[in-house]
Amino acid sequence: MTTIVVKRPTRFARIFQVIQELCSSPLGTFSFAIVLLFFVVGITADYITPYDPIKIDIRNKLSGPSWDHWLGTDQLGRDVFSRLIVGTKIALYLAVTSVSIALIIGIVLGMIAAFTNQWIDWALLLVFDTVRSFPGIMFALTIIALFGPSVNSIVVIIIVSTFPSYARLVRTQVMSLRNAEFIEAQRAMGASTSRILRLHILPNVIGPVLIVASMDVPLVIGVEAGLSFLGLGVRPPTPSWGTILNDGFLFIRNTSWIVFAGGLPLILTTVAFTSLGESLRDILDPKLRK
Amino acid sequence: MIGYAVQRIGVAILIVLLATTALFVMIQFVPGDPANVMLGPRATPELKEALRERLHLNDSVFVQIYYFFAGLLQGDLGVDLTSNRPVVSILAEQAPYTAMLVISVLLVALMGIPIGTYAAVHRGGSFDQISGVISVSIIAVPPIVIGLYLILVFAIQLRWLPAIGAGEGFWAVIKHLILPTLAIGLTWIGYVSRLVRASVIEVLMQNHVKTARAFGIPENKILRRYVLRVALPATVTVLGVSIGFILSTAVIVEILFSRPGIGKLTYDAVISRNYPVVMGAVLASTVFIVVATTLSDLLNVMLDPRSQDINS
Repeated sequence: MTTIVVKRPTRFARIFQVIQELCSSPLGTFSFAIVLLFFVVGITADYITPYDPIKIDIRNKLSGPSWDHWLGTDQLGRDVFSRLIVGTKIALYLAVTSVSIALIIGIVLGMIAAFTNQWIDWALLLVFDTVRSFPGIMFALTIIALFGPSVNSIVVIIIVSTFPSYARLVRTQVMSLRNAEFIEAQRAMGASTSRILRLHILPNVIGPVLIVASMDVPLVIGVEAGLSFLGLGVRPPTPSWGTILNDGFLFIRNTSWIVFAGGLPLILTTVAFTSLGESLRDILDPKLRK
Repeated sequence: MIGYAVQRIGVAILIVLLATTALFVMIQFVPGDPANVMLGPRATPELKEALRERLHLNDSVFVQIYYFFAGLLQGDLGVDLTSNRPVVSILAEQAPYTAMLVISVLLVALMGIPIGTYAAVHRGGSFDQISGVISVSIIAVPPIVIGLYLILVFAIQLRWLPAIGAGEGFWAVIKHLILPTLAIGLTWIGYVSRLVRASVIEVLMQNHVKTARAFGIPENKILRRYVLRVALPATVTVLGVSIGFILSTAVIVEILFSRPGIGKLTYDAVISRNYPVVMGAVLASTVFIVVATTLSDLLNVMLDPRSQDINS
């Protein structure tokens, strides 16, 4: 009997291959570049600002763009460009913490729902659907009334409002795999449920969920912007994209520049994450390509 | 079908009960005494005690929930703590503004149907590519940013449309609706057009359409009779399920445009810890969302019985 050895590409090579494929289209290159920039700026924000983002220079207030202040200054003379850079840090922090915690909760609950008995499944589904039918903003307002406005309240709001959809997605995926032949084979060989879930189901489920998660980053950024804009999120003087928009809106009749500049990073990152998610889905899951 | 409907309605009622209970429990943990809010800092302890007794604040959460639902069955949601007016009449006053906004958003979203159909039929053409890029971009951008840019362009720079309030008189109301509707609706035009495009492409590749084409039925007729008939119900269902999102964004947009409505009402009530109003507004919107989702689910099963297995 001859043995055919199929050499699997290493994980690193596979990632490289996906990036290469991603960059083969202009839209893919654009979104990958913006997302990369978002991470780099978010991590190095404190070191690369041209000005101190909370230093007040009242004589220089509401000035338009110039060589000194690329995106002008706000009502207290603070440099808008520096404030937007530091705002990236908060957006990145929110995106990474809230989405990853929601992912973990969603994956665990989704697997429990799919792999235990009918009653637990039914109860969990009811919980997911209840949370989902709660109007998001009403829930957000209640949480803020409870904990007060802060970055952590935003994290809680995003976790609670996103984990049900991850859990439901994981549940459906696991259910379709549950009776697959390779899982049956594992079971016949005496593998424990937890081993099957960890080593055989999880790797098959994680891809689609990660893609949905990447497409939820715009949601996170939108929630921060919306709540901070209402004065219910990040507190001044800490610069965040939402508070910058709020500053701009208060003085929109003096200068339209701040609102215009403040909206740009929001538009760029949300569009980039969405199209990155779409491109990744096309590459990793060609079945879904339409 | 009837069994499925009964099951869905049962689940809907359970969801409303669970959501209300959860809200009650959460409000229990909020610091601050409603009696203080209502009577002001100078009220005597006796007065506060009498009020707590009247609002059942001294009883356990479960007794409070019981009183809440008992009142609800009689159409009584309690009274506003600041103005002393019944919450039901305040809701009835504000709801039409929000309903008007949501309905006009739904109507605008339907513009995605012709865009998506045209893109699907001329797949890969320049219209398809351009509309594709625009819709993907606009789906992602938060409505608050779209709203702000709309205000910037159409209210501040061009001075064509008003940015504040809801207006009085037919034309003023319509004028005041345009910017808020677009702030929410542009996203949904993009979303619906993507959705319609995908489902039209799927149907176009199916065998019955190929057969119809082989019989020489004109392309326009195929589109109307075979393709859209299958593709449209899916769109209607998605819009029904999405009403929750639309309502959520309507709240923020109402505040951005200083429009009266359920959103602004809840926002003000949360800020001033006016619990009966918060409870009433959240209950009303939850019921609204659950009813919309359940109806669109049932409608979908009625139009396309295959989907029952996926939903249950």
